[in-house]
Amino acid sequence: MNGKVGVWAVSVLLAMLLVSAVVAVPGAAEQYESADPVVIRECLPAKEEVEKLNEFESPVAILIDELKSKNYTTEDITRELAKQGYGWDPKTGACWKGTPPSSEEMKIIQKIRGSDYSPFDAEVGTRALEQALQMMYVTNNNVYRGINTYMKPSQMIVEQEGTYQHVITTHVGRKPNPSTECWTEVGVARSVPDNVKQRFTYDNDEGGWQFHGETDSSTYRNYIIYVTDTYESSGYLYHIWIDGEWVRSGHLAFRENDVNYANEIWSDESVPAWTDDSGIAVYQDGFLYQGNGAVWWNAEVPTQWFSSPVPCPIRESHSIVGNAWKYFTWI
Amino acid sequence: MTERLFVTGVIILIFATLVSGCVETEDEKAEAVRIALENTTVREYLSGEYEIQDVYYGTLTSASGGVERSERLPVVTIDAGDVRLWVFVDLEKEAVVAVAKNYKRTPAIVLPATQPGSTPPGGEAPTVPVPTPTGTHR
Repeated sequence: MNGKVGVWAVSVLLAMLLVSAVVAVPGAAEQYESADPVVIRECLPAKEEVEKLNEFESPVAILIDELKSKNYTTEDITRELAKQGYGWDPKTGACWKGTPPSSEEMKIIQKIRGSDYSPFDAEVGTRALEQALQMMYVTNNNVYRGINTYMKPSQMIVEQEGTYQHVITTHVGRKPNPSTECWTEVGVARSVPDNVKQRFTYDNDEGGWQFHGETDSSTYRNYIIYVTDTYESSGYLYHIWIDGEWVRSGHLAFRENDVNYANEIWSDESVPAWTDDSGIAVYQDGFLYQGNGAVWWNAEVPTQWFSSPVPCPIRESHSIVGNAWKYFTWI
Repeated sequence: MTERLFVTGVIILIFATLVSGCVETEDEKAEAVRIALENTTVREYLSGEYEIQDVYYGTLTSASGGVERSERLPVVTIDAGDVRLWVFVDLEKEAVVAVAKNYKRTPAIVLPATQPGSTPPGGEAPTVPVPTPTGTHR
Protein backbone atom coordinates (compact mmCIF):
# COMPACT_ATOMS: atom_id res chain seq x y z
CA MET A 1 0.00 0.00 0.00
CA ASN A 2 2.80 2.36 0.96
CA GLY A 3 4.46 1.53 -2.36
CA LYS A 4 1.32 2.52 -4.28
CA VAL A 5 1.06 5.78 -2.37
CA GLY A 6 4.69 6.48 -3.10
CA VAL A 7 4.30 5.82 -6.82
CA TRP A 8 1.22 8.02 -7.04
CA ALA A 9 2.91 10.74 -5.01
CA VAL A 10 5.81 10.73 -7.44
CA SER A 11 3.50 10.77 -10.45
CA VAL A 12 1.42 13.61 -9.02
CA LEU A 13 4.61 15.52 -8.27
CA LEU A 14 5.84 15.01 -11.82
CA ALA A 15 2.51 16.10 -13.23
CA MET A 16 2.57 19.22 -11.05
CA LEU A 17 6.09 19.99 -12.22
CA LEU A 18 4.97 19.65 -15.81
CA VAL A 19 1.95 21.87 -15.31
CA SER A 20 3.92 24.45 -13.35
CA ALA A 21 6.51 24.60 -16.11
CA VAL A 22 3.74 25.50 -18.52
CA VAL A 23 1.75 27.96 -16.41
CA ALA A 24 4.44 29.61 -14.28
CA VAL A 25 5.99 31.56 -17.11
CA PRO A 26 3.33 34.32 -17.23
CA GLY A 27 4.33 35.09 -13.65
CA ALA A 28 7.51 36.53 -15.01
CA ALA A 29 5.45 38.96 -17.04
CA GLU A 30 3.34 39.91 -14.02
CA GLN A 31 6.46 40.57 -11.99
CA TYR A 32 7.86 42.63 -14.83
CA GLU A 33 4.62 44.54 -15.19
CA SER A 34 4.97 46.00 -11.72
CA ALA A 35 8.04 47.95 -12.87
CA ASP A 36 6.45 49.04 -16.12
CA PRO A 37 4.29 52.08 -16.91
CA VAL A 38 0.70 51.01 -16.41
CA VAL A 39 -1.10 53.43 -18.69
CA ILE A 40 0.41 55.95 -21.06
CA ARG A 41 -2.81 57.41 -22.39
CA GLU A 42 -6.44 57.31 -21.45
CA CYS A 43 -8.35 58.82 -24.37
CA LEU A 44 -9.05 57.79 -27.90
CA PRO A 45 -8.33 60.44 -30.54
CA ALA A 46 -11.09 62.83 -31.48
CA LYS A 47 -12.51 62.60 -34.99
CA GLU A 48 -10.70 65.80 -35.88
CA GLU A 49 -7.36 64.21 -35.01
CA VAL A 50 -8.11 61.17 -37.14
CA GLU A 51 -9.18 63.45 -39.97
CA LYS A 52 -5.73 65.08 -39.83
CA LEU A 53 -4.14 61.69 -40.39
CA ASN A 54 -6.47 61.13 -43.32
CA GLU A 55 -5.47 64.43 -44.91
CA PHE A 56 -1.77 64.20 -44.08
CA GLU A 57 0.67 64.88 -46.86
CA SER A 58 4.22 63.71 -46.32
CA PRO A 59 7.17 66.10 -46.66
CA VAL A 60 8.53 63.90 -49.42
CA ALA A 61 5.28 63.98 -51.40
CA ILE A 62 5.23 67.76 -51.09
CA LEU A 63 8.84 67.99 -52.24
CA ILE A 64 8.22 65.64 -55.16
CA ASP A 65 5.27 67.78 -56.29
CA GLU A 66 7.42 70.88 -56.03
CA LEU A 67 10.25 69.34 -58.06
CA LYS A 68 7.82 68.02 -60.66
CA SER A 69 6.36 71.48 -61.02
CA LYS A 70 9.87 72.64 -61.87
CA ASN A 71 10.10 69.95 -64.55
CA TYR A 72 12.72 67.86 -62.74
CA THR A 73 13.22 64.46 -64.33
CA THR A 74 12.63 61.27 -62.36
CA GLU A 75 16.38 60.81 -62.00
CA ASP A 76 16.81 64.38 -60.77
CA ILE A 77 14.03 63.94 -58.22
CA THR A 78 15.54 60.69 -56.99
CA ARG A 79 18.89 62.41 -56.59
CA GLU A 80 17.41 65.41 -54.75
CA LEU A 81 15.49 63.14 -52.39
CA ALA A 82 18.56 61.04 -51.68
CA LYS A 83 20.46 64.17 -50.61
CA GLN A 84 17.90 64.58 -47.84
CA GLY A 85 17.87 60.93 -46.78
CA TYR A 86 14.61 60.31 -48.62
CA GLY A 87 13.64 57.68 -51.13
CA TRP A 88 10.69 56.97 -53.38
CA ASP A 89 9.24 54.57 -55.88
CA PRO A 90 8.68 56.64 -59.05
CA LYS A 91 6.19 54.10 -60.40
CA THR A 92 3.77 54.39 -57.49
CA GLY A 93 4.75 57.53 -55.59
CA ALA A 94 5.51 55.53 -52.43
CA CYS A 95 8.11 57.39 -50.37
CA TRP A 96 10.04 57.16 -47.17
CA LYS A 97 12.57 58.75 -44.90
CA GLY A 98 15.06 56.06 -44.04
CA THR A 99 17.92 53.90 -45.14
CA PRO A 100 17.51 50.90 -47.40
CA PRO A 101 20.07 48.12 -47.78
CA SER A 102 22.54 49.45 -50.35
CA SER A 103 22.87 47.87 -53.78
CA GLU A 104 26.20 46.39 -52.68
CA GLU A 105 24.58 44.93 -49.58
CA MET A 106 21.77 43.51 -51.69
CA LYS A 107 24.37 41.83 -53.91
CA ILE A 108 25.91 40.20 -50.87
CA ILE A 109 22.50 39.06 -49.67
CA GLN A 110 21.70 37.53 -53.04
CA LYS A 111 25.12 35.91 -53.20
CA ILE A 112 24.67 34.34 -49.79
CA ARG A 113 21.07 33.32 -50.19
CA GLY A 114 20.47 33.00 -53.90
CA SER A 115 18.10 35.22 -55.84
CA ASP A 116 15.11 32.99 -55.17
CA TYR A 117 15.91 32.36 -51.54
CA SER A 118 12.98 31.74 -49.24
CA PRO A 119 13.30 31.16 -45.50
CA PHE A 120 10.56 28.57 -45.76
CA ASP A 121 11.77 26.54 -48.70
CA ALA A 122 14.53 24.02 -48.19
CA GLU A 123 14.71 23.38 -51.94
CA VAL A 124 16.35 26.69 -52.76
CA GLY A 125 19.08 28.79 -51.22
CA THR A 126 22.04 27.52 -49.30
CA ARG A 127 20.16 26.78 -46.12
CA ALA A 128 16.56 27.31 -45.07
CA LEU A 129 16.03 29.38 -41.96
CA GLU A 130 13.67 27.96 -39.39
CA GLN A 131 11.16 30.37 -37.91
CA ALA A 132 9.31 30.55 -34.62
CA LEU A 133 6.70 33.16 -33.90
CA GLN A 134 4.06 34.36 -31.50
CA MET A 135 1.18 36.45 -32.84
CA MET A 136 -1.79 38.46 -31.61
CA TYR A 137 -4.21 39.45 -34.37
CA VAL A 138 -7.70 40.71 -35.10
CA THR A 139 -9.96 38.15 -36.73
CA ASN A 140 -11.96 40.63 -38.86
CA ASN A 141 -9.99 41.89 -41.83
CA ASN A 142 -12.67 44.24 -43.16
CA VAL A 143 -13.06 46.58 -40.20
CA TYR A 144 -9.79 48.21 -39.15
CA ARG A 145 -7.81 50.69 -41.22
CA GLY A 146 -4.74 50.98 -39.05
CA ILE A 147 -3.27 50.90 -35.59
CA ASN A 148 -1.74 53.23 -33.03
CA THR A 149 0.26 51.47 -30.32
CA TYR A 150 3.20 51.72 -27.95
CA MET A 151 5.88 49.04 -28.07
CA LYS A 152 9.07 48.31 -26.20
CA PRO A 153 11.27 45.50 -27.51
CA SER A 154 13.28 43.03 -25.49
CA GLN A 155 17.07 42.88 -25.85
CA MET A 156 16.48 40.77 -28.97
CA ILE A 157 19.80 38.99 -28.48
CA VAL A 158 21.08 37.32 -31.66
CA GLU A 159 24.03 35.05 -32.37
CA GLN A 160 25.38 32.99 -35.23
CA GLU A 161 24.46 29.63 -33.74
CA GLY A 162 21.21 30.63 -32.07
CA THR A 163 18.57 33.21 -32.88
CA TYR A 164 19.94 34.59 -36.15
CA GLN A 165 17.30 37.27 -36.69
CA HIS A 166 14.66 38.72 -34.37
CA VAL A 167 11.79 40.96 -35.50
CA ILE A 168 9.09 42.47 -33.28
CA THR A 169 6.55 44.05 -35.56
CA THR A 170 3.04 45.21 -36.39
CA HIS A 171 1.56 44.17 -39.75
CA VAL A 172 -1.30 45.84 -41.61
CA GLY A 173 -2.47 44.39 -44.93
CA ARG A 174 -4.82 42.10 -46.79
CA LYS A 175 -4.62 39.81 -49.76
CA PRO A 176 -5.92 41.58 -52.87
CA ASN A 177 -6.12 38.68 -55.28
CA PRO A 178 -5.22 35.00 -55.60
CA SER A 179 -1.65 35.60 -56.66
CA THR A 180 -0.27 38.33 -54.41
CA GLU A 181 -0.17 39.68 -50.89
CA CYS A 182 -0.08 43.34 -49.99
CA TRP A 183 1.10 44.48 -46.60
CA THR A 184 3.18 46.98 -44.70
CA GLU A 185 4.68 46.85 -41.23
CA VAL A 186 6.61 48.79 -38.62
CA GLY A 187 8.69 47.50 -35.72
CA VAL A 188 12.18 46.68 -34.52
CA ALA A 189 14.61 44.24 -36.14
CA ARG A 190 17.95 42.81 -35.12
CA SER A 191 20.05 40.22 -36.92
CA VAL A 192 23.56 38.82 -36.81
CA PRO A 193 24.66 40.82 -39.86
CA ASP A 194 22.98 43.95 -38.47
CA ASN A 195 23.57 43.56 -34.77
CA VAL A 196 21.73 46.60 -33.43
CA LYS A 197 18.06 47.10 -32.66
CA GLN A 198 16.81 49.09 -35.65
CA ARG A 199 13.42 50.67 -36.09
CA PHE A 200 12.24 49.52 -39.49
CA THR A 201 9.35 49.62 -41.91
CA TYR A 202 8.67 47.17 -44.69
CA ASP A 203 6.38 47.17 -47.70
CA ASN A 204 6.33 44.00 -49.74
CA ASP A 205 5.89 45.69 -53.12
CA GLU A 206 6.94 49.32 -52.62
CA GLY A 207 10.46 49.71 -51.34
CA GLY A 208 10.97 46.66 -49.13
CA TRP A 209 13.01 47.26 -45.97
CA GLN A 210 13.74 50.77 -44.71
CA PHE A 211 15.55 51.65 -41.49
CA HIS A 212 14.78 54.62 -39.29
CA GLY A 213 17.44 54.63 -36.58
CA GLU A 214 18.32 52.57 -33.55
CA THR A 215 16.23 52.01 -30.47
CA ASP A 216 16.75 50.42 -27.08
CA SER A 217 14.98 47.82 -25.01
CA SER A 218 13.67 50.14 -22.30
CA THR A 219 11.98 52.85 -24.33
CA TYR A 220 8.36 52.72 -25.36
CA ARG A 221 7.91 54.18 -28.80
CA ASN A 222 4.67 55.07 -30.51
CA TYR A 223 3.97 53.32 -33.82
CA ILE A 224 1.17 54.37 -36.15
CA ILE A 225 -0.01 52.90 -39.43
CA TYR A 226 -3.01 54.64 -40.95
CA VAL A 227 -4.72 53.85 -44.26
CA THR A 228 -6.34 56.95 -45.74
CA ASP A 229 -9.43 57.38 -47.91
CA THR A 230 -7.19 58.47 -50.79
CA TYR A 231 -7.24 55.88 -53.55
CA GLU A 232 -4.48 56.10 -56.15
CA SER A 233 -3.48 53.84 -59.03
CA SER A 234 -1.49 51.59 -56.66
CA GLY A 235 -4.15 51.40 -53.97
CA TYR A 236 -5.13 53.19 -50.78
CA LEU A 237 -2.50 55.63 -49.56
CA TYR A 238 -1.13 54.81 -46.11
CA HIS A 239 1.29 56.59 -43.78
CA ILE A 240 3.54 55.38 -40.97
CA TRP A 241 4.79 57.46 -38.06
CA ILE A 242 7.25 56.51 -35.32
CA ASP A 243 7.04 58.70 -32.24
CA GLY A 244 4.99 61.20 -34.20
CA GLU A 245 7.57 61.52 -36.96
CA TRP A 246 6.47 60.50 -40.44
CA VAL A 247 8.73 57.82 -41.88
CA ARG A 248 6.90 56.21 -44.79
CA SER A 249 3.98 56.33 -47.22
CA GLY A 250 2.83 53.65 -49.62
CA HIS A 251 -0.26 51.86 -50.82
CA LEU A 252 -2.40 48.96 -49.69
CA ALA A 253 -5.02 47.17 -51.73
CA PHE A 254 -7.74 47.74 -49.14
CA ARG A 255 -8.65 50.49 -46.73
CA GLU A 256 -9.68 47.93 -44.09
CA ASN A 257 -7.12 45.24 -43.31
CA ASP A 258 -5.75 42.46 -41.14
CA VAL A 259 -3.82 43.86 -38.18
CA ASN A 260 -1.44 41.98 -35.90
CA TYR A 261 1.44 42.12 -33.45
CA ALA A 262 4.15 39.52 -34.07
CA ASN A 263 7.30 38.39 -32.32
CA GLU A 264 9.34 36.50 -34.91
CA ILE A 265 12.70 34.74 -34.63
CA TRP A 266 14.77 32.76 -37.11
CA SER A 267 17.53 30.24 -36.68
CA ASP A 268 20.11 29.52 -39.33
CA GLU A 269 20.91 26.11 -37.86
CA SER A 270 19.75 22.91 -39.54
CA VAL A 271 18.40 21.93 -36.15
CA PRO A 272 16.87 25.19 -34.90
CA ALA A 273 18.66 26.70 -31.93
CA TRP A 274 17.28 29.67 -30.03
CA THR A 275 19.16 32.17 -27.91
CA ASP A 276 17.93 33.05 -24.45
CA ASP A 277 16.75 36.62 -24.65
CA SER A 278 16.86 39.22 -21.93
CA GLY A 279 13.73 41.13 -20.98
CA ILE A 280 10.24 41.11 -22.37
CA ALA A 281 8.78 42.88 -25.38
CA VAL A 282 5.60 44.76 -24.50
CA TYR A 283 2.79 46.26 -26.55
CA GLN A 284 0.35 48.48 -24.71
CA ASP A 285 -2.30 51.16 -25.07
CA GLY A 286 -3.07 50.08 -28.61
CA PHE A 287 -6.11 51.27 -30.48
CA LEU A 288 -7.40 50.44 -33.93
CA TYR A 289 -8.61 52.96 -36.47
CA GLN A 290 -12.15 52.18 -37.51
CA GLY A 291 -14.39 54.23 -39.78
CA ASN A 292 -13.60 57.87 -39.03
CA GLY A 293 -12.57 57.19 -35.45
CA ALA A 294 -10.87 54.57 -33.32
CA VAL A 295 -11.59 51.78 -30.84
CA TRP A 296 -9.39 50.40 -28.11
CA TRP A 297 -7.88 47.04 -28.93
CA ASN A 298 -9.38 45.24 -25.98
CA ALA A 299 -11.46 42.17 -25.17
CA GLU A 300 -14.41 43.52 -27.17
CA VAL A 301 -12.41 43.25 -30.39
CA PRO A 302 -12.39 39.68 -31.76
CA THR A 303 -8.76 38.71 -31.30
CA GLN A 304 -6.70 35.53 -31.36
CA TRP A 305 -3.25 34.48 -30.17
CA PHE A 306 -1.15 31.58 -31.34
CA SER A 307 2.43 30.44 -31.54
CA SER A 308 4.47 28.18 -33.78
CA PRO A 309 6.06 25.64 -33.74
CA VAL A 310 5.01 23.35 -30.87
CA PRO A 311 6.71 23.61 -28.44
CA CYS A 312 7.44 27.26 -29.16
CA PRO A 313 10.46 29.08 -27.71
CA ILE A 314 8.45 32.33 -27.67
CA ARG A 315 5.98 32.84 -24.83
CA GLU A 316 3.23 35.39 -24.32
CA SER A 317 0.94 36.79 -21.70
CA HIS A 318 -1.84 39.31 -22.14
CA SER A 319 -4.21 41.22 -19.93
CA ILE A 320 -6.28 44.35 -20.06
CA VAL A 321 -4.34 47.22 -18.52
CA GLY A 322 -6.00 50.60 -18.71
CA ASN A 323 -8.20 50.47 -21.79
CA ALA A 324 -6.37 48.00 -23.99
CA TRP A 325 -4.54 44.70 -24.11
CA LYS A 326 -1.09 44.74 -22.66
CA TYR A 327 0.72 42.05 -24.61
CA PHE A 328 3.95 40.61 -23.22
CA THR A 329 6.05 38.32 -25.36
CA TRP A 330 9.46 36.85 -24.60
CA ILE A 331 11.88 34.01 -25.26
CA MET B 1 5.80 -3.66 -11.06
CA THR B 2 2.84 -3.58 -13.44
CA GLU B 3 1.44 -0.59 -11.58
CA ARG B 4 4.73 1.26 -11.91
CA LEU B 5 4.81 0.59 -15.61
CA PHE B 6 1.24 1.82 -15.89
CA VAL B 7 2.02 5.02 -13.99
CA THR B 8 5.14 5.59 -16.04
CA GLY B 9 3.11 5.10 -19.20
CA VAL B 10 0.52 7.64 -18.06
CA ILE B 11 3.25 10.17 -17.26
CA ILE B 12 4.89 9.64 -20.65
CA LEU B 13 1.50 10.03 -22.32
CA ILE B 14 0.83 13.31 -20.48
CA PHE B 15 4.29 14.56 -21.33
CA ALA B 16 3.95 13.56 -24.97
CA THR B 17 0.57 15.27 -25.23
CA LEU B 18 1.83 18.46 -23.63
CA VAL B 19 5.13 18.71 -25.39
CA SER B 20 5.03 17.04 -28.76
CA GLY B 21 1.60 18.26 -29.89
CA CYS B 22 1.48 15.45 -32.44
CA VAL B 23 -1.79 14.63 -34.12
CA GLU B 24 -2.53 11.03 -33.17
CA THR B 25 -3.14 9.19 -36.43
CA GLU B 26 -2.54 9.53 -40.14
CA ASP B 27 -6.32 9.45 -40.61
CA GLU B 28 -6.70 12.47 -38.32
CA LYS B 29 -3.98 14.28 -40.22
CA ALA B 30 -5.60 13.53 -43.55
CA GLU B 31 -8.99 14.64 -42.26
CA ALA B 32 -7.54 17.87 -40.87
CA VAL B 33 -5.87 18.60 -44.21
CA ARG B 34 -9.08 17.85 -46.12
CA ILE B 35 -11.11 20.21 -43.93
CA ALA B 36 -8.46 22.91 -44.21
CA LEU B 37 -8.19 22.71 -47.99
CA GLU B 38 -11.97 22.90 -48.46
CA ASN B 39 -12.21 26.12 -46.48
CA THR B 40 -13.14 29.19 -48.53
CA THR B 41 -10.64 31.50 -46.84
CA VAL B 42 -7.82 29.00 -47.18
CA ARG B 43 -8.62 28.39 -50.84
CA GLU B 44 -7.99 32.07 -51.57
CA TYR B 45 -4.34 31.33 -50.84
CA LEU B 46 -4.06 28.15 -52.89
CA SER B 47 -4.26 29.44 -56.44
CA GLY B 48 -0.53 29.06 -56.94
CA GLU B 49 1.92 26.51 -55.65
CA TYR B 50 1.54 25.53 -52.04
CA GLU B 51 2.87 22.93 -49.66
CA ILE B 52 1.29 21.25 -46.65
CA GLN B 53 4.13 21.49 -44.17
CA ASP B 54 2.87 19.87 -41.01
CA VAL B 55 -0.15 18.82 -38.97
CA TYR B 56 0.02 18.96 -35.18
CA TYR B 57 -1.95 20.02 -32.14
CA GLY B 58 -1.58 23.68 -31.23
CA THR B 59 -3.23 26.08 -28.83
CA LEU B 60 -5.49 28.84 -30.08
CA THR B 61 -6.53 31.55 -27.66
CA SER B 62 -9.52 33.69 -28.63
CA ALA B 63 -11.12 36.77 -27.09
CA SER B 64 -14.37 38.33 -28.21
CA GLY B 65 -17.18 40.20 -26.52
CA GLY B 66 -15.19 40.29 -23.30
CA VAL B 67 -14.89 36.49 -23.13
CA GLU B 68 -11.61 34.61 -23.57
CA ARG B 69 -10.95 30.92 -24.07
CA SER B 70 -8.15 28.59 -25.17
CA GLU B 71 -8.48 25.38 -27.16
CA ARG B 72 -6.05 22.73 -28.32
CA LEU B 73 -6.83 21.95 -31.93
CA PRO B 74 -5.23 20.27 -34.91
CA VAL B 75 -3.28 22.83 -36.94
CA VAL B 76 -2.46 22.44 -40.60
CA THR B 77 0.49 24.58 -41.65
CA ILE B 78 0.65 25.56 -45.31
CA ASP B 79 3.42 27.34 -47.20
CA ALA B 80 1.49 29.37 -49.76
CA GLY B 81 3.90 31.57 -51.65
CA ASP B 82 4.35 34.86 -49.87
CA VAL B 83 2.56 33.80 -46.70
CA ARG B 84 2.56 30.88 -44.32
CA LEU B 85 -0.84 29.76 -42.99
CA TRP B 86 -1.82 28.06 -39.77
CA VAL B 87 -5.28 26.54 -40.16
CA PHE B 88 -6.92 25.49 -36.88
CA VAL B 89 -9.46 22.70 -37.44
CA ASP B 90 -12.31 21.22 -35.40
CA LEU B 91 -12.39 17.56 -36.47
CA GLU B 92 -15.76 16.81 -34.84
CA LYS B 93 -17.54 19.72 -36.46
CA GLU B 94 -15.52 19.32 -39.66
CA ALA B 95 -14.92 23.05 -39.66
CA VAL B 96 -12.06 25.52 -39.75
CA VAL B 97 -11.96 27.48 -36.50
CA ALA B 98 -9.30 30.03 -37.41
CA VAL B 99 -6.83 30.89 -40.13
CA ALA B 100 -3.70 32.72 -39.03
CA LYS B 101 -1.07 33.92 -41.44
CA ASN B 102 2.41 35.31 -41.33
CA TYR B 103 4.07 37.20 -44.16
CA LYS B 104 7.42 36.38 -45.71
CA ARG B 105 9.79 39.28 -46.22
CA THR B 106 12.28 39.27 -49.06
CA PRO B 107 15.11 39.07 -48.40
CA ALA B 108 14.60 37.49 -45.02
CA ILE B 109 17.92 38.72 -43.68
CA VAL B 110 19.25 42.22 -44.12
CA LEU B 111 22.75 43.50 -43.77
CA PRO B 112 23.78 46.67 -41.94
CA ALA B 113 22.28 49.93 -43.10
CA THR B 114 25.47 51.97 -43.32
CA GLN B 115 24.71 54.68 -45.80
CA PRO B 116 25.46 58.26 -44.77
CA GLY B 117 21.78 59.16 -44.94
CA SER B 118 21.03 56.91 -41.99
CA THR B 119 18.69 58.51 -39.48
CA PRO B 120 20.33 58.79 -36.05
CA PRO B 121 18.67 57.47 -32.88
CA GLY B 122 15.67 59.55 -31.97
CA GLY B 123 15.22 60.71 -35.53
CA GLU B 124 15.99 64.09 -37.00
CA ALA B 125 13.94 66.97 -38.29
CA PRO B 126 13.46 67.21 -42.05
CA THR B 127 15.91 69.66 -43.59
CA VAL B 128 14.08 70.28 -46.84
CA PRO B 129 12.35 73.61 -47.35
CA VAL B 130 8.83 72.24 -47.15
CA PRO B 131 5.95 73.01 -44.80
CA THR B 132 6.14 71.27 -41.45
CA PRO B 133 4.06 68.12 -41.64
CA THR B 134 0.92 68.27 -39.62
CA GLY B 135 -1.58 65.71 -38.58
CA THR B 136 0.56 63.37 -36.53
CA HIS B 137 -1.30 62.06 -33.57
CA ARG B 138 0.36 61.41 -30.24
